[in-house]
Amino acid sequence: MNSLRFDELRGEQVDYAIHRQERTFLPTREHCPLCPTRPGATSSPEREPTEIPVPAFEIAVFDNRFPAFEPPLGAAEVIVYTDDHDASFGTLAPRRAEELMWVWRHRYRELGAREDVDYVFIFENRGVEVGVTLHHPHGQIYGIPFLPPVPALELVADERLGGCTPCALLARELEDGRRVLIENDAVVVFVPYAARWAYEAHVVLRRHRASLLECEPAELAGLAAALQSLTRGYDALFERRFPYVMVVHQAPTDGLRRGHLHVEFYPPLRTADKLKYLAGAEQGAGTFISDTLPEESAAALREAIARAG
Amino acid sequence: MVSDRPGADPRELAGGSRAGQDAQRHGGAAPTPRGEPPDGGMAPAPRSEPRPREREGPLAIARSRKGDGRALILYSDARTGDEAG
Repeated sequence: MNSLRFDELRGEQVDYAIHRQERTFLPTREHCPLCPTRPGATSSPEREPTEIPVPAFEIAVFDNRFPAFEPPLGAAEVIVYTDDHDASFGTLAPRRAEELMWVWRHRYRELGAREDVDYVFIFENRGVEVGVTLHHPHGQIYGIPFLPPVPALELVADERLGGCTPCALLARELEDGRRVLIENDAVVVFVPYAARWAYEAHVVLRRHRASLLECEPAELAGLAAALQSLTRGYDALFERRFPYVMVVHQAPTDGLRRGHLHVEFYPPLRTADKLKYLAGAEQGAGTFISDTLPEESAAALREAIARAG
Repeated sequence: MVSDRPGADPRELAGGSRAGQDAQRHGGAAPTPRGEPPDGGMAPAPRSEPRPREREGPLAIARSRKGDGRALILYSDARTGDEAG
């Protein structure tokens, strides 16, 4: 059983999910648990059904077999983007990527309605560099039974600035222009002024939308298009599969409509073959030391995004 | 899961509903976006069989349970059917 312990020194929760030590770790392609189940599957270890017991599917969501959160204190789901083992978010058909936004929306609504979920946290870890254990394109959704620290900081920023911080930052980025990567009718993508990661990017809804539930269909389509364009640009940047952590920040599910829907990317690469590690300053002092300027990273990313198309 | 800080402050989701939450945990369907009763008032479907389809935007939703009881939701493009029919 999972358990939470409160760290009084830092004022934050720590989640203990010790059964996750046994989770599937980098299986061979033939044993990928997120692929569709082949016809003729049996209970034998060599031909057992996968997590998705159908021969083909579009998008699948299921309860994580190794949950970080579980009832009665939260939930942990896996969201499989496609039955194509070799695809990625960026290479999905645009229509499928748009549908993925609707799935996010559906899970936000449903998990957010639960008494034991205060924050619906949608994310994707991509690449072994960020700890991925399954290569099949997928993300995860945690129904967290408390408001986690990072989204909470964003709400504190709203109080400090006396208004919506993402709205204010978006206006500043558009006025400056040097760090803007992508614009469409629905969203703007930029390397933030105070980016911590070399190629960090934020994807922000132009209009103030607290959550996916407030988005018009065209905004969901625009969000999907921008996310795909960015991830394809990432892969083009160093002409390699680009690792990242992608997180969706939106309103806590307390009904107060706080927050502004946006997606943040934290890629660990600082060059084609060098990783940024979180070491003494970052872990012990909470201060990021960056080796790159956001304006220079943005210029390189813009070129890569244009090249990727 | 257990917590050493019980007594979290569960709050109501604006415009949403907590109804059906217990049903969900036991294999039932969540309230639909339009507020219809789950499954149109029909009795819950047996475990492991696909449930009658709901919709979310352009998606058709099929719910079932895996052998160990975990929920599985399959989403498919419902627009193809709309366009065809």
